[in-house]
Amino acid sequence: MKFKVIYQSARKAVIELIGQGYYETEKSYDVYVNNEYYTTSNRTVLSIHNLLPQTTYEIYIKNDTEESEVVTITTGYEFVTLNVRDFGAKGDGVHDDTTFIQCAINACPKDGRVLVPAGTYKISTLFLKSDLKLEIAKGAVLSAFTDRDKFPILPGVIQSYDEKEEYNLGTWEGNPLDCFAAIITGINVSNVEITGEGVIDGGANKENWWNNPKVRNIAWRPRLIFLNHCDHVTVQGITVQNSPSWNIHPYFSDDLRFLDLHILNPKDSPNTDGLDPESCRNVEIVGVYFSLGDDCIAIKSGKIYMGAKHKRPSENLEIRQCCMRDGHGSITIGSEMAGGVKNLLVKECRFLHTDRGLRIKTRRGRGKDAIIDGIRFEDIIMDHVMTPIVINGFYYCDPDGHSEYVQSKEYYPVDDRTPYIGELSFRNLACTNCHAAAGYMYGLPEQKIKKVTLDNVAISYAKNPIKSVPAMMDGADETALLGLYANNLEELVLKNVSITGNEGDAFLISNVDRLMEEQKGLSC
Amino acid sequence: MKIDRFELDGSLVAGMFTNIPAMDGCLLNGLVYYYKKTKETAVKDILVSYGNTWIDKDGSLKSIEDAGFAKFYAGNLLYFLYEETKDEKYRKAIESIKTGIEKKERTENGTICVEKTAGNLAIFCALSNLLPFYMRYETTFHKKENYNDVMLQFNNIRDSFFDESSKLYLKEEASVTDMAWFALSLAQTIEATSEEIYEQYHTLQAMLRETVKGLLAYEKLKKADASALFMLSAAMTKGCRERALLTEKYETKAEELRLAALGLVDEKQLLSDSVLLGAMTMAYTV
Repeated sequence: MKFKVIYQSARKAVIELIGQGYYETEKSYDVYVNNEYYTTSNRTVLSIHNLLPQTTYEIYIKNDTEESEVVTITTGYEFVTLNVRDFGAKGDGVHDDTTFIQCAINACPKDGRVLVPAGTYKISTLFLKSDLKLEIAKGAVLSAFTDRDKFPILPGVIQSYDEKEEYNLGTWEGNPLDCFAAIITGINVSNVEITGEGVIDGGANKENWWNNPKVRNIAWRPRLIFLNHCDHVTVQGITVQNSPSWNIHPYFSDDLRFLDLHILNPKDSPNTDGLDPESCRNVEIVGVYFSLGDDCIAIKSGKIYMGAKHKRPSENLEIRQCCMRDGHGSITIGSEMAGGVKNLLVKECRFLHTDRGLRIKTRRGRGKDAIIDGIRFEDIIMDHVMTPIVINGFYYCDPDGHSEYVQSKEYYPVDDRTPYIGELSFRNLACTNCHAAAGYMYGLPEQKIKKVTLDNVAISYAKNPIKSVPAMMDGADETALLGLYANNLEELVLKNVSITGNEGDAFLISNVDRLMEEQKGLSC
Repeated sequence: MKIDRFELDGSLVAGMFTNIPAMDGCLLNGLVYYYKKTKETAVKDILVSYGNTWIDKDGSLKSIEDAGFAKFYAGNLLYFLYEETKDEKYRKAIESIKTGIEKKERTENGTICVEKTAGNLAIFCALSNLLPFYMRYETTFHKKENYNDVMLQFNNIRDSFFDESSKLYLKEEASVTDMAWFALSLAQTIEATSEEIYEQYHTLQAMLRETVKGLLAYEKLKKADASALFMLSAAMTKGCRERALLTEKYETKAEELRLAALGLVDEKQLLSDSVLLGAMTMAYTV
């Protein structure tokens, strides 16, 4: 039995079990810290809280049959703790505690810690600063007001005085538009840790933020956590819930870690994406549980204007040991990806009851910088995912989404508007209780999907499959029990791909230039 | 109606209408902005009354249709009346006018025109009349499906008529008034454009900035008539509100133009020239 410590600070550590399952272990195990029982867990990623600064700890885990080696850590240095109560915050669920907590944040020195102890703290917006450790303790709830008048607006674009440049603060769905500041906002900050066992609650419901959600009301809806041009930020342990719109939105930010979080919204909540890195680099998402009303993780890089202007892809992302439940796509790329998405690894995850496992949404008009490449899915369990793999080159978004230009399945000349899908690989996928299709991959005829590899992939269907549209494009009708559909690929590699329970052909392949098969257990 | 030092009798203003929408467009647009700012009921009554002379109860157009484009500019009134009254006859009328766009001829590069042989200036002025109406239709009723076509018109205007050295449109043919009219048309189009199609919204903002800068540097602006100065002032004020122009830099300049124009007019002139009155009203209330 093995584990590694993937994060440690002055007060916390996060361990990750190796080879013990995906998000959950098969057997529960006990955790011991300095030979004292700490907790019992069945999570592959676990936080250890309430450690003391500059202290050595010996950690080991054991279940009924195995015991790990002892791993020794020494926690980091902490200068001071600033308890927000000492700054006047009441935590009574009534008074507005925003200013008091903000005061503590602003006053926090390097290597200090702002502590939000148990209590319910009503807030509007808190702004992070560099070199900050913010701990939301067990029993603490940062509970947001839902009155728009309390939220500052981040202007989308502010022109420079010489009229040559722009300063972008706000954003909405890939465009630089005015939005309300998030409940936790970071702008140009570095070295921030938001940790704890507490909760950030956006308080959103259909009477407030989710009412008429597609219409701008003063400004576009706030996120729960918005990181704009930040770097070296870690968010660990907390629960975020009931977000007005996207839950966690890192934007043009780098070197980010999201560890052992719970991201929760009702299934029918609008636009409540879980974690949407947009034009971000070096992002690690580990041990996060998602249950919400839209895509769990949606990797983005802006719509046409931002993609063309900044040409900043989201790249170097690793997602592992996560559980995605009830959302639209477990992992979605797009539809705002005009700057591209490159080098993504998703492994050791569980997708449950989502519409899609991997979902790529692109279309003509996204632009030549809209490059998707280096996508790897490995060791994934999917259960009751409607269609495990969807690569859609004809996604019908935006006003011209249903136009002939976007939807035509005929050849169009490749030009500056044509997106590119490079290489994707799917290894060791176990997909049970699928409904609509085993997979639906439809590239552009003029710029085919370069290469898709399926290696050791097993797909079977639900007993009572629900019909649904396998991909959101014109001409894709509702279906159930459809096999693996692949159209317009340069190369398709099928190695030990098993599809059972389908109706019709297991593999519906057309316009594929090179098909390489090594099949065992093919059945129709 | 009170605009700066002028107190105008509403009935005299209403009496300026010819009841030919193609002739009355500028004043109608001005009065719409005036009402939106002041909420003077009498002005709304004038506009509703005009609507009733133009549109029948079933939404059909009472006026004689011509091939010109000026009626599109007057058509902006109908969006206001629909919004205010929710009467479907105005929606029907808007759809009817809009079908006129589909019937128009186009040049080889897709520019909408009265006829293919029309001269550059005729095309330029026609599109100044058309494009705010067209964009508002696309945004309000047509899910922005033809945004690309509206942008094609602006892009073609720029490609065909813009002079890079002088930063002016049709410098040799167009008057300052024509150019200022285009700037105002651009500003009103931006107002009607959804920011969610940001790349196009931004393109129009950049175009307005460029147009305004070109006009402000144009030596003929100093001798321009009051209508042109009011139109440019209105374009700049609207541009500041839409954040196409830096308020800090351009709001004062807009006011200077307004004051310069004010010094050129008297009440008699205002009540005899509907374009002048419409332009002035927009400069103060847009």
